[in-house]
Amino acid sequence: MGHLILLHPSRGPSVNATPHLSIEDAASYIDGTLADEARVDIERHLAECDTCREEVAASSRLIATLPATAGRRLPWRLVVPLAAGILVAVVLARPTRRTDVAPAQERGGPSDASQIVLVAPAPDATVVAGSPRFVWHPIASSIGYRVVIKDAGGAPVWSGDVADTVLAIPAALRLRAGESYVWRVDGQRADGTTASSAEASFQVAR
Amino acid sequence: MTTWLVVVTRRICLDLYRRRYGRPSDDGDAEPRRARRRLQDLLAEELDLHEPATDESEETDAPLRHSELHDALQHALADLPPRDLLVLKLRFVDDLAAQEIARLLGFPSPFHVYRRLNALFAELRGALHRRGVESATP
Repeated sequence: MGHLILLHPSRGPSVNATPHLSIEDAASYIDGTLADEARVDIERHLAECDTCREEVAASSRLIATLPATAGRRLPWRLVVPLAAGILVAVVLARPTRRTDVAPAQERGGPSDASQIVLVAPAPDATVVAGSPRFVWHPIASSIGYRVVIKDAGGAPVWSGDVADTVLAIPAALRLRAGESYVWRVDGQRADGTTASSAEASFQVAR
Repeated sequence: MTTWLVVVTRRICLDLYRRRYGRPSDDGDAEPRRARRRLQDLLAEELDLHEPATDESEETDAPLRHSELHDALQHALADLPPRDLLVLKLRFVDDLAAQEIARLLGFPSPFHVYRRLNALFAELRGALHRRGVESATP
């Protein structure tokens, strides 16, 4: 019965100084309907509060996946699947969320060169086995990237496609402690041309 | 209305989940510390930081230099305006794509987010340089 309190209509948006954002403040911030001063106050809070920032980031991401026709009116027949989807996303979400993002037209960025520039891991860096994160600079007009990982002998270990410029490899892939690997990124452009990074090596910590 | 419903539903789901499975840890400070550590580690990679230069080269000093680097980074981050710190956290801790950050923070386009990030990296390199930490990237 306690949950009914959450659904009780509020008297209106207010920026409170208490530990966490109200639902109305979070929703208004995501919708961009706050006055400048309120928005600044909320951003100050979000910069410091991990709980609220995660809520705003996750909610904003979920909302972006809704069909455009939902607009301001959510048909009730969508509520149950939406709630189920949110529950699944919340319970099962793991760091590889980036792969769910629809390809975005990335313009500008650090280089338009035909070669993709790798950012992390740095060449010959040692990474922690559980959560190596691969980062590279975007190329103009990209529609997707493929990350390829090989072992020190050149044998393929894993490859995966991603729309954005960060990849956290799935938990199912086990990189072996103390081993060296080689990785590169291939990028595909909208006009069909491709670009590749140089190959870089990294080591997994013991 | 839709946004409000999504936020509410997510809170209810999290609440139900925690009632059934409990929080990952009872230490209230664990999550912020992990997030802070992750932000610093990823920024240290992005900025290509070197350990502060010292005269000794003993192995035993490595953890001390590592913590000096993180201290310097922590101070540099603390000096940032809230909106800039928020951009960094959304990018590196929450893994939001540039387009998502643009939508949430009201940047005109993902390109503007990349440009702000690059400007922040340059600012951080400068702040760290003043604290004696060098970056391989000029």
